[in-house]
Amino acid sequence: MMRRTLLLCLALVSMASADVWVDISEGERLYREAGGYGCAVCHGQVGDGGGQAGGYIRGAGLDQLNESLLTNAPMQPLSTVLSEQDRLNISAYLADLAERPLITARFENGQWVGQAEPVSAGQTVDLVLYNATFEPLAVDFPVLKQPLTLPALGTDVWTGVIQDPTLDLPGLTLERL
Amino acid sequence: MKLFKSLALVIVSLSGFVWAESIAVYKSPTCGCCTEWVKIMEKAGHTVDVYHPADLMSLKQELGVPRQLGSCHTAVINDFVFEGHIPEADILAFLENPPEGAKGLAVPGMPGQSPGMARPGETYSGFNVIEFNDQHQLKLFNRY
Repeated sequence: MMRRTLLLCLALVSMASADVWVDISEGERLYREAGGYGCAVCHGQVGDGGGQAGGYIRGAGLDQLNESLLTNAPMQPLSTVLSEQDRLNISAYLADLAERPLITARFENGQWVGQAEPVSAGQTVDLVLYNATFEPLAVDFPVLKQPLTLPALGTDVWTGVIQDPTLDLPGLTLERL
Repeated sequence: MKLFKSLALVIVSLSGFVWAESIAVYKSPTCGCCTEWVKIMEKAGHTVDVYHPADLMSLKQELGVPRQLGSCHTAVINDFVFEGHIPEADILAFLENPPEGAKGLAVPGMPGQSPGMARPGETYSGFNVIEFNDQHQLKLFNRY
């Protein structure tokens, strides 16, 4: 939380003509709610793609966002409601996401499989868990500290510090990216 | 057009169900792919009334759409709820013989090769149509 607040207070984006304050929390809110449905519906809960049409956008910059709002048909209508400041805030949120390695894990056919970006010990990661079955699923990876239950076809995101960079989570087969 | 409507009426009468006067679609004014889905339904001969509620997410909750099945637009037909980019054929099949206890169907998220997202003429693929009930229990309805 403190890290997030610091980022909110200190984040500065250098522009050609001036330094502009950005609000990462506002960028996150817009990511979830812009246009009434948010970027998340096309890009996953944390820019991970989530198997949707929009794909992975963690770390996408302001230029990429502006280009997509200009040329990508499903996104074009959003360009009318996102101000320049909104766009800065969203791109700052996406940059913030990219600071954390992403681990995705999907439970299907009785097993967890996933992918992991390179992780160092002590690093904060985003762990996206998806239950691809039609029944609720209890998840008790030790790293979570406390178990959680994913609803049928549900997704949850755990953000926390990984101490063991081998990501040796019981029952999870990971592909290293 | 009159002949088409009469023919459509005969067909739905024979098939055992009657459409509501129109399909109510709730969407954001900034949603382009929702509009594409509406066009597909209109092209198939249905009348669609489009609404832009101030709080789309709350409306989905009120209509009973399970949170994890959310997409961009929500349609209501004959008190059943249809969330997201569902092919018309599945809606017809559902309405013709509604599964016991079912509240509606959903295609969660934004699959790239679903109606309203796919390029014109592209085969629908890579997504599931999910049936749900009031208790938010889920079942596979169709697979593409």
